[in-house]
Amino acid sequence: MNHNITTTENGFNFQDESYTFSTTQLFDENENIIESTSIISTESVLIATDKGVIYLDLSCTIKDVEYTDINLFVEALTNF
Amino acid sequence: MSNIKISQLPVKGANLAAADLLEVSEFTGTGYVSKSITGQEIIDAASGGGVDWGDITGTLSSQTDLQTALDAKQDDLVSGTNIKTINGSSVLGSGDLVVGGGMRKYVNTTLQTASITPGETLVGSYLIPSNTFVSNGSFEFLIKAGVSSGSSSLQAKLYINTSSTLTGATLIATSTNNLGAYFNFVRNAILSSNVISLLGSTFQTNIDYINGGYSQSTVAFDVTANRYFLVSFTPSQPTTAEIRGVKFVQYES
Repeated sequence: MNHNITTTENGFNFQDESYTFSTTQLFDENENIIESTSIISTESVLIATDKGVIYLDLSCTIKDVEYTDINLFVEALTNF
Repeated sequence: MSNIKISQLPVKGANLAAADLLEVSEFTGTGYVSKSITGQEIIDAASGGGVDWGDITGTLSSQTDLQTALDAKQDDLVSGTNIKTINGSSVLGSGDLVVGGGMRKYVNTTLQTASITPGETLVGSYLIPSNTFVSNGSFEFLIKAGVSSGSSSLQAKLYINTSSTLTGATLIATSTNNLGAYFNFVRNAILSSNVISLLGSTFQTNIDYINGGYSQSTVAFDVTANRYFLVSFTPSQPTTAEIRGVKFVQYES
């Protein structure tokens, strides 16, 4: 099942929820704050938001566009 | 036959019998006509009448069926005597007795085994029905997992979602990259007004009994709606891994 994401100025909307990007919930193993995204595989990424760290993958579309490259997916997600 | 008085007749010496005959004077409105009446007719006429409640005489225990039925009844309930109390409170009377401070739990011991390859794979999906938990209290999450064959390292993650899929799920916790065998993946958390507060969800550790100075994550958990707790595995190489069981326990505040 495809889920469509719409981007906002500092976040995105997904499944009737609005998320705002945040760095306060995403840390590396040394407790250093990392960027608001962490690519965990060629198909999935963790996104730090005000509602926690959200798992997204290429089964989602962004503004009805399908992606096959996770880097392009993240770029489309974070560039409003 | 010469006239004799009734008092001069032989005594019957027994109860009225059906075939007995008595003489009766029936009033016709203007006079009397002598007729006979059988004992049965008198018995039938008398048996139709009831006795008013309160007018029954005699000894109750002599009515053995009634006495047996009464003996079988439970005595009046006396709190603390023949009915226990709950935390010192009587349960007698009407209304609701709110019992607080209890424990709620979700335990699943179904073995989940999966052949997995590098990359993240959803292995365990656990539906927590609405109102299994309450909106405030402390929480313990325990996931017992490990590699059942092969020498791969294994990292587990715990998510929460409204459906049984990782897509859109919110990360709750991340384990260490475990090398071989089994490990316990444990988190202690506080649930306050449907929000879980616990160790940073991306901080990689199996057990969160660690010193302070670490990040904290807050994750929404609406206990009034169905929610899925999801366990994923990320191995370093193809392997067979398993979840031996999960335990989610809440101590109500």
